[in-house]
Amino acid sequence: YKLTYFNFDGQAEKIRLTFKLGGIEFEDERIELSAWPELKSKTPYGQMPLLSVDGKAPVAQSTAIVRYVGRLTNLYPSDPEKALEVDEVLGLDEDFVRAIVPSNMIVKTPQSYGHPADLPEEDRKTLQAKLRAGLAADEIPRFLGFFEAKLAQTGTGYFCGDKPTIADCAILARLRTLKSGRWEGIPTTIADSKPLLSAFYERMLAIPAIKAYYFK
Amino acid sequence: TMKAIKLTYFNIEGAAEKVRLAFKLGGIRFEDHRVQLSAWPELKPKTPFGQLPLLSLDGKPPVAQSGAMLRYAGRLTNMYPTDADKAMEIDEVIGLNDDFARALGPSMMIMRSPEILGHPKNLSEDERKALQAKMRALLVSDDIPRFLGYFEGKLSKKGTGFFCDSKPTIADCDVLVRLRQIKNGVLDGVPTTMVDQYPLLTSFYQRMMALPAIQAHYAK
Repeated sequence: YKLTYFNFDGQAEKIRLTFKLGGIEFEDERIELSAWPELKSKTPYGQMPLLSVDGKAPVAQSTAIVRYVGRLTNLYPSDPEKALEVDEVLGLDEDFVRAIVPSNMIVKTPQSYGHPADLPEEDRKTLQAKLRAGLAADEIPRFLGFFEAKLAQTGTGYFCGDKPTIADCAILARLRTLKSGRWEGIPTTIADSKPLLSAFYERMLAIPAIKAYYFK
Repeated sequence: TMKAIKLTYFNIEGAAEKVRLAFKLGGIRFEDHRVQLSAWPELKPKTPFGQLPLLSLDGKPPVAQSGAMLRYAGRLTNMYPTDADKAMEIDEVIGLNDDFARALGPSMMIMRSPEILGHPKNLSEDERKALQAKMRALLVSDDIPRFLGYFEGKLSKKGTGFFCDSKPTIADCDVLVRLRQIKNGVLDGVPTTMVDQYPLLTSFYQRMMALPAIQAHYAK
């Protein structure tokens, strides 16, 4: 198994975590940003992550790949109702990303959001700061509230059932990005006020396979 | 034992239609509950995440997320196999369609909440429409052909007339709804004829719409 992505968490981390938690060896290929323009045109859909199995043609879409690895590792249930629960959390996580994306892309393609294509760099940054402030005040707390409520609902310390699934891998990865300061304008402490999410974060990091991955 | 399935959404196709189609194609009975827009403000705070659609099984607390529901329906109807490779092929197509939705999203959001995209909150209706027209023109020249091209390429590669198998899967239900969205003129500024220049997508559309269960669904 070869997973190809940039050298940060992004959409690939939930997949890396699933491999690690499931104890399946994989090549964790990380591409430098400078190498991307040349590589991009060679990918099926101009995007990463990509998964190549036994050297076959790579598959795109992190939500497809994480489910695939989840099936291999038994971290994605096959029972329809149990899977429904996992898929709901994965869907919420994707809605979360969808809310954040404009604030990332507005500096690269402001025209996609109705702004002039030739908007000066300074104005792009101002727009980004405005969007990030809105996210920090409204959307991110809203989503964190959903995740906190989900943990309260299961009462197990995990998102779906009494042990980790790919849903937990997805939310752990998302919390890591929030805490990393990678999204300028989003305080790294934004999730700290949620007790169940904070306990979940520590619980996941304490799992031996995940601890070894991050702290070796 | 058969579960009592209730799907709640607005009286439009939107995010629920792929789920309706999956249940119908698979012959699964469900209550297709449609909520009037006027009833939504009162209902919204009672939903788990302030959104529709919702799926309730045997009267249990409802589940959100149309992608979750689509996969649930697929598991019940043999349109989302347990084989990991086959499922990944389906999930890749669904993921691309989700990316397509994400590309279209801002041009819808600009009408409701322009401030989310960095514009003044008090933009007039005319100003919002003008921005939307600009954004839609860009989609028509770039993203829409790009995604339709991906789907055309997938059909070409598969060679069966469906996206991931020799028969429909939930991926086909998902893409059909996108094609209908374009053809029905739901997206202002996007010509309803955009799909017509893609021969495989065009015959796929006709093939799906001719399936008895889908014909019956749209005949009502």
